Amino acid sequence: MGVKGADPAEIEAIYRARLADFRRVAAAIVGDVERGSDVVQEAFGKALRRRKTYRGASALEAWLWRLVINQAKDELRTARRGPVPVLLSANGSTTHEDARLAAAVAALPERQRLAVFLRYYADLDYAAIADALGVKGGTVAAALSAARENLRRTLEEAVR
Amino acid sequence: MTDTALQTALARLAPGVDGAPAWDDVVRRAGRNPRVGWKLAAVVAAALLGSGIVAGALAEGVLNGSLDRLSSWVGGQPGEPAPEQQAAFDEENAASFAHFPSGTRVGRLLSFEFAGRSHDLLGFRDHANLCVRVVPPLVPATTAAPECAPQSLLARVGEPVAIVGGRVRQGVPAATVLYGLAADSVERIDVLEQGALLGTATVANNAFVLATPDRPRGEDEPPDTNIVLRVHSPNGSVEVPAPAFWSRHHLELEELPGPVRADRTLQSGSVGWLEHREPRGQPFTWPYDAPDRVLYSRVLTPDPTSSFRLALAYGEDPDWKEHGRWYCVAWFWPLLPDSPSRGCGRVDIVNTGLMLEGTSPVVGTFTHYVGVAADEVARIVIFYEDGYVQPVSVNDNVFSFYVATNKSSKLAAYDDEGHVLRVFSLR
Repeated sequence: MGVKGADPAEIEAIYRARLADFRRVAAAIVGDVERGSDVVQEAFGKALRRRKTYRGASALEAWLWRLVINQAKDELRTARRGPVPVLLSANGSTTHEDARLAAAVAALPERQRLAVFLRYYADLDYAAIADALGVKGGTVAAALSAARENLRRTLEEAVR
Repeated sequence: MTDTALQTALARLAPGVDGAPAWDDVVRRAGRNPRVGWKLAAVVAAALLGSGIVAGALAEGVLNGSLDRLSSWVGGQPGEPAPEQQAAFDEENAASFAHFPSGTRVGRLLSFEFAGRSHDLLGFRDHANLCVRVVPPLVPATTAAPECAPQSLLARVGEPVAIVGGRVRQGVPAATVLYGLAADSVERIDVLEQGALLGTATVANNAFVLATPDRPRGEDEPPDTNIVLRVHSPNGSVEVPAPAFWSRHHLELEELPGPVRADRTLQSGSVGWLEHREPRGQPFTWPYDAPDRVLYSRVLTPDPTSSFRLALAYGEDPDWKEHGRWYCVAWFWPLLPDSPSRGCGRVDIVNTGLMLEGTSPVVGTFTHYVGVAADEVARIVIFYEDGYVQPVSVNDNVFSFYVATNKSSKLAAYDDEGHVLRVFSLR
């Protein structure tokens, strides 16, 4: 397949339409609202720079999700900030129960954790998650099922 | 757990992140390569804060003078130029076994008098850590390791000061010396012991030092010392307990987030590459008496964001009470001519997943841990009482990390399938 290239206007449209979702997922991956926003800005800057390399094999939005996720993972590696899945409660405090859930999400294997973020923070369907993560739809279903089971097991164990 | 229940719970934990689009910033970044520096990120963050669109807790953290704002550390060299100290630093750095990166710039944060002698508190960066060093040292030069604070944890501490090093009621005559980092907003720090004023710290360049002789004590006075830093800023004062090791508060495993027990038991944990003599890390000739017979040893980089190095040896020693094979580690800090600390454990100990060694200062906001992990350990996670989760990288089966001591925490080690191999409290 030849190189298709992405239209900057389309990239901007997706940025404006889904900015809150991108920021929320990026913040969840890096564990920090400020850095999550920075990750999104950087990923979209990269998207503009690399727009000619977009091959059109998947939806443009999936390609952008991949850039955001990879940028967030790079941020974790370089800044050594961890996969902190949960940031802040609405009022800035964290209840004991929420802290346990946060810990349970953090303990998930990476693919499961990313699938959870994309499913529940960005409301992507399985096909879109599969595109964003570069895996098959069945893998997403399996990852989310395993994640739910892991979370259930961990939380039930914690309250015993 | 149903889909809806999970969605509700997760939504409660991570509320939506709003914010005005900043497409112009995206376009600007597109024209630059490589990635944006932190200064621009700070500008964007400031803009977000200015427009009141960042979640409340973050704004609170920035505005209350916590340690994510250290203006004197902006740029390559903190504090004031100190050419003589720089030259001495460069010489020591070149002569030591481990090294800080070439070109590390040292600045004088402040000077202080102690026991009739003048000392400087120097500051410098080591990758992701902010480090300080007292010169001339207050302890023997061969053990005066640089003391560092991980930048990623400083903002998480949630307090306007962090004690990075010092000693309490030590020496003859006894004295207390405390030093560390202070946020931009800090104007004065009074140090209290058992509620009485021990002294007022010198504050400059986002650093502080208190150096004071021990006060007279009554015979009935308990030996434990409860030290509190009363930190004054334009917005008022806050009291920061100094988390001395004997009085650090801790919660039980069950009270902390994260797993409470292992769900997989190792039958025979080991460090395979070491026993098979794979050439990981760098060559190292183990120079120490123990173990008596060294079968293989290498020096490793447990944490890529630090210049700290750890030598790992595999050997046996017939004189030891428990015969068999042992793993031994030796710490290597830049600026020190030799390892100031070593430790050994029977290979069997790795059956528990980890061999952990801590280096706890008497008083400090952070504790530095190092250790050896079995092959089966894929990752290590620290869980704090407030829900913060700190990952620990494991490289060539060794690890090195700092823990904030003002919050109770525990460590969990996982295999690559997410099973818990080991979990215990960090105290």
